[in-house]
Amino acid sequence: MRHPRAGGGPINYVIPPKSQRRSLAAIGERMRHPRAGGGPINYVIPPKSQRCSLAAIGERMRLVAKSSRAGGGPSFLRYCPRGASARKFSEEYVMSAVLNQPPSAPVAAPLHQPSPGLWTLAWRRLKRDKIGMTALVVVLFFLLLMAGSYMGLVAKNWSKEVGVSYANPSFMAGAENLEAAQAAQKDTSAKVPFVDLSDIDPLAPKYEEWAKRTAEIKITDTPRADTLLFGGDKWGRDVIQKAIKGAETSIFVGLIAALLATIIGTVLGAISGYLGGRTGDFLEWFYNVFTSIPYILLILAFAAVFKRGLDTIIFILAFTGWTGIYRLVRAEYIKHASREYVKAAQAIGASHTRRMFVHILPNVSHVCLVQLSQHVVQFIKAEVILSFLGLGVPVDSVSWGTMLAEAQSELVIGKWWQLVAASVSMALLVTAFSMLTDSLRDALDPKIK
Amino acid sequence: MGAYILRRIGQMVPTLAGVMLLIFVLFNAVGGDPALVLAGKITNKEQIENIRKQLGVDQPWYVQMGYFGFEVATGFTCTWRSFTEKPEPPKSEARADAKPEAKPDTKAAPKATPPSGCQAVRSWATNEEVPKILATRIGPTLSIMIPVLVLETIIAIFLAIGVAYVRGTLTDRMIMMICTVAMSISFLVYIIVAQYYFGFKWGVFPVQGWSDNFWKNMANYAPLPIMLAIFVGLAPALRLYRSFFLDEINSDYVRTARAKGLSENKVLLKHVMRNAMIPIITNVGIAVPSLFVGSFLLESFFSIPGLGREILVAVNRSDFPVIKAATVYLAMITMIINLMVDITYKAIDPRVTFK
Repeated sequence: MRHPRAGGGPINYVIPPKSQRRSLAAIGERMRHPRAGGGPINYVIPPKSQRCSLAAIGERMRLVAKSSRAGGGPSFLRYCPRGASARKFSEEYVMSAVLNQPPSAPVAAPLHQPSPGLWTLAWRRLKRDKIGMTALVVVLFFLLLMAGSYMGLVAKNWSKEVGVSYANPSFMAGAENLEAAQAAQKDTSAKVPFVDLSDIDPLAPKYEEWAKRTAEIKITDTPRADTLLFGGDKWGRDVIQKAIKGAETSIFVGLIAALLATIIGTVLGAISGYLGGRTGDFLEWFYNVFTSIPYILLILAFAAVFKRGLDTIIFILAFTGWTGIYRLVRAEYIKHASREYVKAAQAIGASHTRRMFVHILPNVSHVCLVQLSQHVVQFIKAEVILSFLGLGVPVDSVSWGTMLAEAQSELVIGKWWQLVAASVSMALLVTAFSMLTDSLRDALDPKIK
Repeated sequence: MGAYILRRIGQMVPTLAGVMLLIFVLFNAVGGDPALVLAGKITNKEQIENIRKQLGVDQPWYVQMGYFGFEVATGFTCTWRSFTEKPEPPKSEARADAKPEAKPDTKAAPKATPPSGCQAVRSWATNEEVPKILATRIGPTLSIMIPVLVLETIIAIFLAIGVAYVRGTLTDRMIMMICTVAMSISFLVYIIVAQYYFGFKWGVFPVQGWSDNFWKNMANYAPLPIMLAIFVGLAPALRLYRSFFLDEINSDYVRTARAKGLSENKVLLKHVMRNAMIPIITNVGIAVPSLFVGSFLLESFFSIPGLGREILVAVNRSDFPVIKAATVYLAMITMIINLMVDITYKAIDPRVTFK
């Protein structure tokens, strides 16, 4: 095996399989990835330029590099253990990683291309996945829509009554609209024939003054459109704008609630899986309590107690939906807690918190990401149902769920557009999100190359 | 085996205590003053104080917790207050002056007061006895949900084994694609559309309703909700079961079975199926407890007087006793079913041993 430093001390090199012999990148990746596992620990010294990104390899590698640079013969690792137990590990783990490198050897690395990390590789795999990329584009489009609607760039006037009641979609302008006709008729019939009562009306002298004051107030009678692009609702609001505003609400609730649930699940799962013992037992009990109540019932019980509102529904979804994530993250942490790289981290004196969230977390973060995107889908669906039942968003805002609630009675009188607008936009987003989740899971699976 | 079951039952005790604690904290600490909820628009301080006294929320929290524990222990058939303070007028009368607009028939004194003075926990909204409410609502729910679970599982298993057999082909990919799209449409949309077409437009089934006659229900009112639930549940079940079958279908034992000349049917239905049944049973076991809650959406759309609808109504009316009782009961049922599912494993997989 060729190496610029050939002739150096005994170095444990990984001999890559034939297919990967082109670059050392593959070795680098194996090294970074504790899950790739297997075999003796073999390390490659990273080039200077990469030294800051070494976190993934583990702090001990950085120390190895440092100590060998510091010079002084066969560089056994010099470190400052914080605890006595660290010393115990020094021989077992750290020394095996020491590279007996002559201090004078240049750290030149023409062969060391930047080795791709898990995320770079996953991104590469995702880029090759056509379905995944299409789904990603759709999801990003919806997210942009949400941001635009939040900042008031699109669908700002969703609550304006721009059309007649149940305005027809423009592609079926000819269809009759009984509701609008009826409303128009009511307007004209409301003008009752004038009867002169001025002799007995005590308010008569004031009429002139009032008429003058009324004239001062400008009344602009906005013409109401007979047709809207995709029809209007009962109050003549544009259904497309409503769907966009509804998307904002539903996606916002789904995203924030999923993010919160992932954080709760990950933190509790990490503590329970890593520490185990009494703390682990307590958290397991907590988990059992939440899972022994059927999920729907748990949500309803929470909804019964709290007041209605956007923040409440986010809290309810997050606080009842963390259990699945907890279970998976806990299992990952149990697996990782006994791995060598964690013990090595202990050897150099990393605290429990640092080991849990700086060393292990990057290695289980792909599980969290997949769970996050899965829960976004789940929570968007849940939000729609809760809002439909009137347990979700407040009345003055719109969500896909409230649109469906209106659509139920509209369908009976033949106004199908609001139902179609809400369900198609929701189906599009949820399909794209589920496909993206599947592609992400495949792309982040270290076993698939 | 016996020791295993005993140990599992022992483990249920702290979990149940936890559930009770959660419910207690949720409804008594977070839920605000129930008297205010119950009084509605009444602002008379004396009346509110009266309701508070009646509900026992004027007591310190540990006494209230004691009440709740006693109620759970007696299965909500006894309230501690009615048990200890016999001479006090029945709950319903005190409620009558607090809420004058309540219907006169709900104010009627309890007819079936047990001789011991033991009086069941009553719903805040209707003054019905909570155990009675739950008992009468469970029937309709189960008569919808049991056919759904059984049919859905059987259909999904056979479809999944077929799809797994033709894995990787265009058919397989198309079906999986359709499943993904079908899953992304909200359950609400399916119900609204099906109710409109089958019930309103074509008149194949009644739009909604329920009767006292079981057979009439099953023939008339149940088929549409049952078919809807199966249709909606099929897509996720099919996807999941297909992956279970795929895990098994490439195993060595399948190759061996083929090598020794077994027919494809025998390989699939006997060898593959038995192994894939284990995760499937787990999955069905997870779904069983939700049988009792039922599909509250279906029940409220089709006016089925089931448990799910009752809970939903209770949530909308802030009828805490009903929600509390339903939650505690269903948590108990869930735990017992989970134990039963674990025991079933033994029957299906001889490799399973109880530790």
